[in-house]
Amino acid sequence: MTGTPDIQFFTASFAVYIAALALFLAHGFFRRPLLGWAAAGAIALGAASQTIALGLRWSLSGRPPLASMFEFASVVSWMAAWSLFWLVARTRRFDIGSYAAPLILGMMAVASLLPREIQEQLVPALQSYWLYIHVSMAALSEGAFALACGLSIAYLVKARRGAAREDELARLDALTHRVIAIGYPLFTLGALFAGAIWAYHAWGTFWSWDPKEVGSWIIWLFYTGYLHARHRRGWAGRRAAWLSIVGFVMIVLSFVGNLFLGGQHAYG
Amino acid sequence: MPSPNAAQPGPGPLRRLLADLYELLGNTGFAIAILIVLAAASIAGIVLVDQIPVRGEAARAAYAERLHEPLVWLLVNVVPDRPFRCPGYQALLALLSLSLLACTIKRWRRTWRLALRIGPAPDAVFDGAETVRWRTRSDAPDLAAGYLRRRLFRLHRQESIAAPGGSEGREIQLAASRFGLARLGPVFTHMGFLLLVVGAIVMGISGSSRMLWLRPGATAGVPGTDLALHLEDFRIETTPSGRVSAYVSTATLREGGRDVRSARIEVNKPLRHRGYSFYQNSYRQNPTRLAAIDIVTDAAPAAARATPGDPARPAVGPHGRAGQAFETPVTTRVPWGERVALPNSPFAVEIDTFLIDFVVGERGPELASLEPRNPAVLLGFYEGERLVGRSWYFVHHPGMAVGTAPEVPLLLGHLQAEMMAGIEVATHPGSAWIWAGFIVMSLGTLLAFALRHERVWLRLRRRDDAWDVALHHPGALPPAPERATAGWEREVSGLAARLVRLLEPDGRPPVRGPEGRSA
Repeated sequence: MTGTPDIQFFTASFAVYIAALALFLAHGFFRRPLLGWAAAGAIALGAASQTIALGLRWSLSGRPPLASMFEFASVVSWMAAWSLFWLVARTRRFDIGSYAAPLILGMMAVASLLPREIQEQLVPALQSYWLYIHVSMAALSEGAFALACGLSIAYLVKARRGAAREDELARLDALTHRVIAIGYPLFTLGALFAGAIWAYHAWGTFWSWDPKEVGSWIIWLFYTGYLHARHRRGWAGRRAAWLSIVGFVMIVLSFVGNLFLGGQHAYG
Repeated sequence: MPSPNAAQPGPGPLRRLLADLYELLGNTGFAIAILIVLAAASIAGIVLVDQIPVRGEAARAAYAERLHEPLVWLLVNVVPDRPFRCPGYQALLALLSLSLLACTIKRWRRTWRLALRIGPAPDAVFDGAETVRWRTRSDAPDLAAGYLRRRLFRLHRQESIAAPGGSEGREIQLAASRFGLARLGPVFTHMGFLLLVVGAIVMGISGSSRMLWLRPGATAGVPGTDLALHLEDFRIETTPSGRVSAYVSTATLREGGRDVRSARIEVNKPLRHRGYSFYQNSYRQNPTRLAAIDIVTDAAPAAARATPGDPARPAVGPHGRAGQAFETPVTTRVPWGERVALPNSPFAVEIDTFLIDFVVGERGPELASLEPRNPAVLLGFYEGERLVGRSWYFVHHPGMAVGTAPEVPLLLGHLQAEMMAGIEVATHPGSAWIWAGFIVMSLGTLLAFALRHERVWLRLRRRDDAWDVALHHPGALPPAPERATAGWEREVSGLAARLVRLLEPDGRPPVRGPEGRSA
């Protein structure tokens, strides 16, 4: 392993997440609880290693690691990993891990492809406490949406295979909804409101239809539609699962779009 | 005179239309459809902005050579110039706002009642599938009421006795409700969104934004006011490694010709005064002025100068006019507005004119653009106080000089740019609405997602020194089918399970479902 200490811990957590996925898959195949607990332990270990990585990065840069796309993707995957561990340990539904862990690995893989240099000096536009409020809440919410996507994939696969009882599917569906209900207010207050207030202070306008702003607006509209469809129209099960997956695809597109569309959020 | 029994005339067509419209707008399915269409339109807007950078009338000139007519016509006449400000997109936003308003009005009374009122449940609720029954010998009513009160439930207690004079047939109903305000979360969220829309409309109609480009020492007035901003200094601060750490404008705000405030305006640190905000928005090089210029001349005697291609004296150092090599180049800094003597020459020079992008126009040298593509300097040559000539020198053409100046071999060295600060002056007349929208919508979001309205109804019937308890806790019971193997504790989640444990069953497990299945 090469690079600064934080990158070494980041790489270590990546490796441990791969091991965790292997253990989750093994649990799915052999149905041994011990394998499930080992997988949960591996996720916790990976998340702990990533916590150290983020802490080291914070210490080396002198600011919270929230200023680059690498740091953002890393925080999203870190949030998703701890959430997955919490969910698996609480519900003992180790099968969820086989579907959610690949998403965490995907985010880690995307992060590892991005520039990882520590920027000790933030560009002037980012020198605001709103950076930490806005970006941290956005990352936490998107981590929750990622986990919800994993749960929805689990739901669809199990429903298709007929591998789960109706009540189990209903619980999975309810769990997805709860996770989205955690992510949605964080996204509304953090990604949209805190971002708009910061834009007002920095750029003189609450909203400028910047590509990233529009991306967040689309994501918000979509999850608002999801919640209304679920609460008011009784959308649950497969339809809700598909909505949750499409919502996360939008998040990924919004994140990747930052690389291609530019705009006022293109800080690298 | 019409008969009293005659049928009342129905509502007029306009009223019927309005009623239908209200029904449609208040329909959640319609609101969801607008959300989806709006999301799709937003995606299309991003694609338009990114893939078709030039639209509207400008597209005709930009694409006419590359694209054929139907596409050009489409770009000019159909594709909106500013997708997120075009009437179609604004109409969708207006439709969403109207839908929110209609949904809120339509559900207001019921939501309010659910949130704040508490009363006995109709008997029918105890016959539903979401009812748990068990038998307990404990002091159940007081125990349950105390427990619920400690957990911040508001209680409504109703007692009835079927057979007066005895405790047999006594029935107590406890209705408990907690965090009913959570029901108002969506109402607040909708109202907050509407406030945001109103704020955006007010801001869009009456807000203003204007860029003031100021060089240090210059003053610019804010149009339509007696305010003026005088820029003392603008600098770009960097770290030792060369990264930009701050853009700082030191400025004085003047009101009616009087200095009222001095401030450092930085990114994220605007200056606010009387509803006007001054933002450090941008910067650029002054296209017609320099801070200073370095002029390179030769300190060696003219006879000692080499000429290119002379094998005896290879060309060293920079080359001046006509390509002469300088034996001993010497640099003289000429600040803007100062006259400086050139070494080894009878002349002094002064910067007369600077153009960041020189082009010869119909009326002589002109500024072609604001980019440093072909910078040129007009230098004035003085002998004592007498102007002897002026010539243009070009950064990208070092051997060239055009003008009436005497033949002095010189080169343009480093051009020290004068930076101009771009200060954006904006007014935000709708910002109060926006702030109110943020507060109300945040409150609604917190109420809706951080709190959960919990209601529970307990019916306790006295029978043989014991109580038959029926508990109805809407939403607490997962739709567990009969074949579920989990015990009752897993079926009745949360509050219901805790109440069942509190009012201990008398040995037989609780039963779910209507009365007929009671223990």
